[in-house]
Amino acid sequence: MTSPSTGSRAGFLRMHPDGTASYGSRVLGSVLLVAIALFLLVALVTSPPDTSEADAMGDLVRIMYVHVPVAIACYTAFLVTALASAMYLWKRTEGWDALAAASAEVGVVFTALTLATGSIWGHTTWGTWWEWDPRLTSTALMFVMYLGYLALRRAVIDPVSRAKQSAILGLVAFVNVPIVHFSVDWWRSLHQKATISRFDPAIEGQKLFALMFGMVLALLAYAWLMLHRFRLQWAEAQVEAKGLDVALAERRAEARADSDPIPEGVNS
Amino acid sequence: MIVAAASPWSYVGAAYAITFVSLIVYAAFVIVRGRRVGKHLPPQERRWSQ
Repeated sequence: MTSPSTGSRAGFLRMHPDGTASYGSRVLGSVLLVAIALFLLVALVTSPPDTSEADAMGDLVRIMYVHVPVAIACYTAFLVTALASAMYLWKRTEGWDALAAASAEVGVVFTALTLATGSIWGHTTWGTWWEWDPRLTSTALMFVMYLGYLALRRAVIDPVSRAKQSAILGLVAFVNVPIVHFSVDWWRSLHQKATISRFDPAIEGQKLFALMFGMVLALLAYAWLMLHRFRLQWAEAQVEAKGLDVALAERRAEARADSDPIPEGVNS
Repeated sequence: MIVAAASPWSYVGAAYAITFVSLIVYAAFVIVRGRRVGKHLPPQERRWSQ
C-alpha cells in the first residue's frame, strides 16, 4: 500500500512515502552528518598525538575517540532496553516492547563495534587481538546475551508471550552491564581503568574534547538509529497483527462453514 | 609480517573504517527494511509521516 508523497518539503528533506523517516529524523540526520565531518576533523587532524607519559600511545590514542563512545552507546542502548522491558511488564503495551527490541538490536551493533575497535586497540598495546581478560570476557558475554535476546524474539511466535519472555530476559541481561563497566576495578585486568572519572580525567585538552565530542556523536547516532529502528519495529508489529487477524478470520470462517448443516439438495 | 610492520595510522584507519562503514551499512539496512514493511501499512498507521 503506497501513500502519496509525504508533505510539501522538497529536496534533501523530502521523504520516501513508505519509509520510517520524518521531518525530525531528517533534521537530526543532517545535524549528525555535519557532526561526523567535524568529528573526523577534530579526531584525526587537529587533536595532538599522545605524548604525555613514558608509555604514551602516540597517534594510536585516536582509536579511543571511537572505542569509548561506541561502548557508551551500547551501555545506553541496553539501559533503554531494560527500562522499556520493565515498563512493558508494568503497562503491557506493545510500544514498550517495540522500544526494548529496537534498542537491543542497535545495542548489539554498538557492542560488536566495541569489541572490534577494542581488539584493534588491544593488538597495538598488548600485542594480541584477544585476551580472556575480565573486561573483554564480560563484554563478549554481554554481546552473546543480547544476541540470545534477539534470537528469542525470532523463536517465539505468539506476540504476547514473546513480549513477556523478552522483557524478562531484557531485565536479566542488564545485570551484566554494570559488571562489564566495573570489571576493571573489581578484578585485575589488562584493560586500562576508566579514562574519564568524575573528578580526574586521564586525558585533557584537545584529546579530552575529541573524546567528549565522540561520545556526543555516538549518542546522536544512537538516537537517530533508534528513531528509524523503533518505527520499523512498530510497523512490523502492526503488519504481524494484521496478518494474525486475517488468519484468525479465515480460521473462524472455515470453522463456521464446517459447523453449518449441509443444505438440503446438496449431495455429500 | 604485515601486521607487525603496520604503522599506527593503519590501525587508526581500520578502527574508524570499521566503525563508520558498519554504522552506515546498518542504517541503510534499517531504512530499506522500513520501506519494505511500510508498504504493507496504510498511511494513517504511520504516525511519524503525518
